[in-house]
Amino acid sequence: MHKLMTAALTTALSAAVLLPAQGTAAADEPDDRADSGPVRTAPGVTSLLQDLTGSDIVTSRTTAEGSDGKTYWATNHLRPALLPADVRKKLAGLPGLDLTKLKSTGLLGRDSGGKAADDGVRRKYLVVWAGDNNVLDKSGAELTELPKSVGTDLVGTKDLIGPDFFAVVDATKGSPTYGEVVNTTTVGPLVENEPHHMQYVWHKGQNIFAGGLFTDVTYVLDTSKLPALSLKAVNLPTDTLCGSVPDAYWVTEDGGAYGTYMGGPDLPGPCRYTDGSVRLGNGFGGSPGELVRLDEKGRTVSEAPATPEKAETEQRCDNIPLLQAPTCANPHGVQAREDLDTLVTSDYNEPRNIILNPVQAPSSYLRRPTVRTWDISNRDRPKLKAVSFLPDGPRKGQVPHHEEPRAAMETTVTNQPGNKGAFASTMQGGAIYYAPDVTAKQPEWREVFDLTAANKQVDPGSNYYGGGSNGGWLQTSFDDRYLYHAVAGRGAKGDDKGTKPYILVLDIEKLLASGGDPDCRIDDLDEVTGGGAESDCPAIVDTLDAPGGPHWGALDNLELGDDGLYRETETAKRLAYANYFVARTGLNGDHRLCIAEQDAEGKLSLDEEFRDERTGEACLDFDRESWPHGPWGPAKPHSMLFVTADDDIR
Amino acid sequence: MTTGSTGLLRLLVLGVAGLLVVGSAWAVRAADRPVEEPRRTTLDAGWRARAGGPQVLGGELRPGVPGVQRLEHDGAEFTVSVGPQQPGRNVVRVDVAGPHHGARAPRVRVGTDEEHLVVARPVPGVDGLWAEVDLPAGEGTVLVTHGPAHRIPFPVVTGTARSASDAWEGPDAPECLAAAVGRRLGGSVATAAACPADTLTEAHADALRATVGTIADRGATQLAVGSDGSARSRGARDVVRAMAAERGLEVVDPRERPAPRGALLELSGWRHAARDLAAVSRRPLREQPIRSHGTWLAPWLLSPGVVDSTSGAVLPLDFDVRGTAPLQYAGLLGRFLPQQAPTASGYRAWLEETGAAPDELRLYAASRTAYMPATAGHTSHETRVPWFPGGTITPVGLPIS
Repeated sequence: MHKLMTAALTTALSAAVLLPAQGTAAADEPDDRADSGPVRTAPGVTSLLQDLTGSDIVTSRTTAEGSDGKTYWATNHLRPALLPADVRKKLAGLPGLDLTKLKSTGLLGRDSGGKAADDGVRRKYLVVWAGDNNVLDKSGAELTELPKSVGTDLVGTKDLIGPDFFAVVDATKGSPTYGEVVNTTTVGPLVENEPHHMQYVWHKGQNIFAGGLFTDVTYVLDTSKLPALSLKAVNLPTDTLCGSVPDAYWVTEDGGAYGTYMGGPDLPGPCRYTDGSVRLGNGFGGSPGELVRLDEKGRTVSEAPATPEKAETEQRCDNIPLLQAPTCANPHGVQAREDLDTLVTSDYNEPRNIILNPVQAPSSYLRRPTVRTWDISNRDRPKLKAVSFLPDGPRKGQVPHHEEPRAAMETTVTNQPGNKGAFASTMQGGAIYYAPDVTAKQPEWREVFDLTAANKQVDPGSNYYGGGSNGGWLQTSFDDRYLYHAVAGRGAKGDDKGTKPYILVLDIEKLLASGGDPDCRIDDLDEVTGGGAESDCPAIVDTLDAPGGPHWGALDNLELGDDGLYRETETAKRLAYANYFVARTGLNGDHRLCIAEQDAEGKLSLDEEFRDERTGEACLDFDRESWPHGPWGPAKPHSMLFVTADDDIR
Repeated sequence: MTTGSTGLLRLLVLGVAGLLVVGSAWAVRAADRPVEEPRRTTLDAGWRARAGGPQVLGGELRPGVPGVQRLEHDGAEFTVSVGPQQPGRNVVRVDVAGPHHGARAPRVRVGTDEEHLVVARPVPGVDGLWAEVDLPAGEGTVLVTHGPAHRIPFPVVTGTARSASDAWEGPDAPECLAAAVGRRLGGSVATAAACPADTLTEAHADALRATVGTIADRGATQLAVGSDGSARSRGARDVVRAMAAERGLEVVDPRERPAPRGALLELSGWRHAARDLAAVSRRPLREQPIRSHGTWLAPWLLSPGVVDSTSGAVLPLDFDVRGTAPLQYAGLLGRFLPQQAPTASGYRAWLEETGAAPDELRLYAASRTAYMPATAGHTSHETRVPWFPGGTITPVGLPIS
């Protein structure tokens, strides 16, 4: 009851007294206020809210200058009471920290209070890149009364646009604050980034590379001081003129990264890449996309064309508006094998999806059936090596973009030195493909699994047809035993009851053991519904029901050693997944972040201890009224990483 | 409100009662009455609206000042904007929210009395439902109907002066109203004067010169220019032609076959631009013209209905939709008029009231970024994105001049 009253008071107060930032300066200059959005909370009210909720927030801010000369920032909103004493002490060294305030919390000394035990156990965190779900995401049905007085003082009487942020969640199993949000790092001044992907796995010493679809911006953050994050750099649209709509990243051992920019050049017409070549593109969000090499400070090292100079015509590649040379080059998924000097990207879709446009004639052929391999022997000059059109499968799609090769959203490489293969999955095609050797001049891709089989196992009574199953995250286990796939499911429509959402685990050991010439190939309808007939085909290990619509996930690659430090492991025993895609596409999700554990047989189970601190229910719900950075309301979690502070990992 | 015959009877009784109550006040106003005596039904409706108390943006109606009112009726909320709210031809925008809107809702009709009702219809280039009415001098009523038994009257106070701008009577009227509402939100109580389409501002002329220069710098050889008959569009066409000639660009009609290195620059108003762009977009993909150097829009064409009529366009703007002031404006609309998407013209008018200066001129891409097919079960959007629903307006260039 007390919690409910507090929440109600918090909501009422915050709605009543949020103040507007003054003039345009607030958007251009960092300030030290608690929230980074264009509308701020009155400082006095912040204190009052903290008194009411019983949890002080300590802030620290880091800034970076963009190539436009403007200042960008990331602001931590830490909850010291949820941190062990030794972590709290380290906060004192954060840039821009209000040390007086930290001291005033009375939480600096050992055993000085707070919820977190001084158990000496180092913490591991989930860093979740999440977007503010704001008034602009709501329908127009919620009308307020027209104001009786108008003028400039109308502005800011209610909070409107909140900052996007990284939620830092305690992911230390057994910790008293397990599953609690210990920090939110807001970014500014840009809002409405539509936070999307980071890299697939975090390794010690790496910065986080995180992209905003709508702003065409890549944020680079330092993780060494976790649970605080520091902004190191921003890469702006004008830094990548030949590409737009950044999707995903792969960080290399030297600290640099490759980013897939799915959309076309910023401006329609010719664009000159770093290698001097020119391609014609149809503009922002269009085609062709590109591969961008970034250094560890987020600067653009090179832009590489993802499409060859000649037209791509093996299968139909539509572009809207039309291009003189059609292309399917809209790279989305990206993973690399540095030991093989090879990088793989998969093409998903021309981002300006015209299907949703009531004016434009629809085209199923905007979904891409292609995977590209790159020579990265010169890390800073990636070079397109092969364009592979995924072969059609035996299943007849109800619409052309349900054909197996369409919408190759993700790709994942094998990891062990003896393997040279990679997988690719198709979001609307509902299929998984494999190429045994991605170093080949022209890799040979074949279908090795159809989601029809998994859909059938999850619910035999459903219409388990695999087309449109909306598979997203695809990841090999680091030991190359398993392949994980997040499947959001197909919604019901008319007589089609749709398919359920789940996390799929496939056993791929035999397939990889077959080397460069596997037998597995899905080439008849029995194999579509029952799995591949050949003995080396992937076998279903488990399907974990995942209500809410999982789109993305991450393996936990960090385990605690006997010395009390974390180390990387090849046998991940759990994974995290989030139920959110892109709200403004109509495929949303219930905004929950969950953890699943995997047993020795590969079976998954939902981690019931990873609970929402407010509801007590399993999974962390991002639809909440308040965050450490303020009462900004629900948020949209897209991607996540398991991360530790530098001092806590070997 | 009333429904069926019982409701009509109640309306009559209330109307008579209302006449008794306000009779003296009516007599006082008689000197200001228009030459044409209002019909009894209009009178009843006007009284009911005043007695029922529709919400009025800014608290009160002012003669000659475009107005916005809202009234709940039968569970639905009707927001009606009228401009210029002066004697003569006026444009009416109707937004309906609640259980009775949507595809199955009865048609909305608009008029000044039962005998002069027209169906309110969508207009290319802008959201909302639109109709035109002729208002008398003095005061009157805009009657909105919602099915055969539902009558929602909104009072209007027009004064005696007629509008100074012909644009209120033409295809650019919705843009006039958007600008007027922007000014009103900013606190203006001035009567409606010029409309954005009445003249090409120097700022817009500069933006167009810079845009043509950029297109030429990018290697285009041909520029197809779309325009209409407004003074602004004609002025813009002259500016663009002069700049194109200076830069060696051939200017052609958009219906001509594009050259290998061709671009389109659209200079019409919202309605004509949206109509013409959509006409191309609706054609089978492989029958659409290939314009290697893309589609570019005049700065006043940042209206969701226009930018969504084509796939990916570039605009020169002197503001970033993610800047503080544009977000504040979008937030104002989102809170008070959530069915009215922000537009460049509305924003500019509002910004002038605040006294703030525009930003540097830059190129922005207007693009859908909703890259998910309309899969079964996922077609219900929960979102209503400002400036460009389902898309983004993103800066893609350094300042231009």
